[in-house]
Amino acid sequence: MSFLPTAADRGRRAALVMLVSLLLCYGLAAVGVMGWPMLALFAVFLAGAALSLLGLRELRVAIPVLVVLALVGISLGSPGDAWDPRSIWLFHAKRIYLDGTLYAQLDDYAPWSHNDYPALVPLLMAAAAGLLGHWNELLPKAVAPLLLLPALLLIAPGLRSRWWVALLVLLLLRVGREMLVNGYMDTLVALYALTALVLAMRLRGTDDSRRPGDIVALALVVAVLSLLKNEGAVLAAVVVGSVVLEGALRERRLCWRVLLAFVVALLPLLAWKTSVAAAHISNDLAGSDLQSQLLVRLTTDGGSAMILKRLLLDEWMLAPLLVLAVLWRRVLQRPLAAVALLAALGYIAVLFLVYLSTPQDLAWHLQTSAVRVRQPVVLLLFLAATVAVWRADPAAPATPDPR
Amino acid sequence: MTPSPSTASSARWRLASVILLTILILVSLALTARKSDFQMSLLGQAFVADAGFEVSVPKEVVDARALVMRQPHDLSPLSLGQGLKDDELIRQRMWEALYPQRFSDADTPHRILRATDPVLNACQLIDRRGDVVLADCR
Repeated sequence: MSFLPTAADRGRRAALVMLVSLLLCYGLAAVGVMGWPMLALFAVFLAGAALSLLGLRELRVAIPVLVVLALVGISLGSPGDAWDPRSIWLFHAKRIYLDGTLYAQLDDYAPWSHNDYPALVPLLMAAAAGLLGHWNELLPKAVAPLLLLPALLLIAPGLRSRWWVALLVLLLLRVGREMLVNGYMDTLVALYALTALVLAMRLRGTDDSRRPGDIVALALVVAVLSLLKNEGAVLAAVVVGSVVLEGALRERRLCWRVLLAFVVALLPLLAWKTSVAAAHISNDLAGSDLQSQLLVRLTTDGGSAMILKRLLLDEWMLAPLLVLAVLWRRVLQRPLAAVALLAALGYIAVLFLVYLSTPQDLAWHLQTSAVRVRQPVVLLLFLAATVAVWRADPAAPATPDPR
Repeated sequence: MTPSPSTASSARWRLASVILLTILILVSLALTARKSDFQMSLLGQAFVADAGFEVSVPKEVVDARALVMRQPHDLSPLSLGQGLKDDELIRQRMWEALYPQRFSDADTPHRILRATDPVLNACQLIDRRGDVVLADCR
């Protein structure tokens, strides 16, 4: 028996180094410490990514690492012309870089740029520019695909076979497409939600399935998920709620570890939202007349049908839903499948309500965002379908990698 | 020792699966690169100051920024003429791409206008580049 770390262990350690350093980087900026300490922590984040290269001999680590490297390369060689990344994330990043504070956007200049959105990724983008010594339109954008790496490194080594890792990466590439490289946050939100669910299920499991540090890993992933964008916190709540509810119904016990990790992980977001409230910045959705918009769309203009059509009528949604409908008995028998389906349905319900109450023109809002925001649902449904069909258990402990 | 037929068949199946998955991943990466307008020339400039600006924003924004950068003094706040303000894409790109130069939705003394904007007749032309002018409309 060898006590040397396996390649999968190295990948997991690299992921934890990346997550801890980026949250410390955010923590320093949040208390006003910018400059070299923040840049040093960002350099540690990059070193963590480099550390993952040590695990390349194991395919379950090599596949995500090489694909993320390719995506970072594509991002570095692509124009930064996508609407949301330019108007929100890269703009906020440039403001942090030039103004030298995490709270630059809280003066509410250019309110269309959603100044209430969390500033974790903009901070990292600004740090990339800071490390380079100047701003450009290419390097900061590449931070987004690099952030896929810690989540993939936490989830991939736990998969029973390298085939599942390849299929997960393929699914991510097909669902995320160009949004993986042009600075959108939506695929990151989807992947971190999936990772949170898998880690929470591992933490909910028996002592054998749990690994030391799983509770810390879950807290780190949920903290990052909640700071990616506003939807991240909602999704984290839906995922954790599904894990806890299903656990309470099936096992008649409360998963206090999962709840503890969730509560602690939301503290940075709470601090950010307190600053946003103190700056009197409101969210476009929360600041509108939600109730009347919702009632009008429910009763008169066929809004419900339009929303359901846009959210559900797509092969990436229908294919796993069909499998799950056929294999509903197995879904009920297997906790991971049941929880993933519960979380997917819960988040669809949230999206449905958000679209019903949107202050924007509904058709326009759906056309410009439905494909992006349903990505977490697609990943969760595919996880549920995969577990139902093949009994692949991503929450199981990793098998030793062949040497 | 010769492998049994079932072992050989399993190995062939595995190899075919590896090749298929590798091809699918590579094709997906290539499609991602194509849809995001990946260019090797841009990749070569990834660490150069201001790289990628001209290919990332509309030409009016490139011209406006060049006009503003040629001015010796900060002209903030600027405002946009109707032909530019009405186009939401150009409006947002002007505000974010020219930052730290600040804009206002209300009319200000210094304005960025289209060269054909009739308002220009009542203003003093400061500079022009392409279809965009910087004007003093006090």
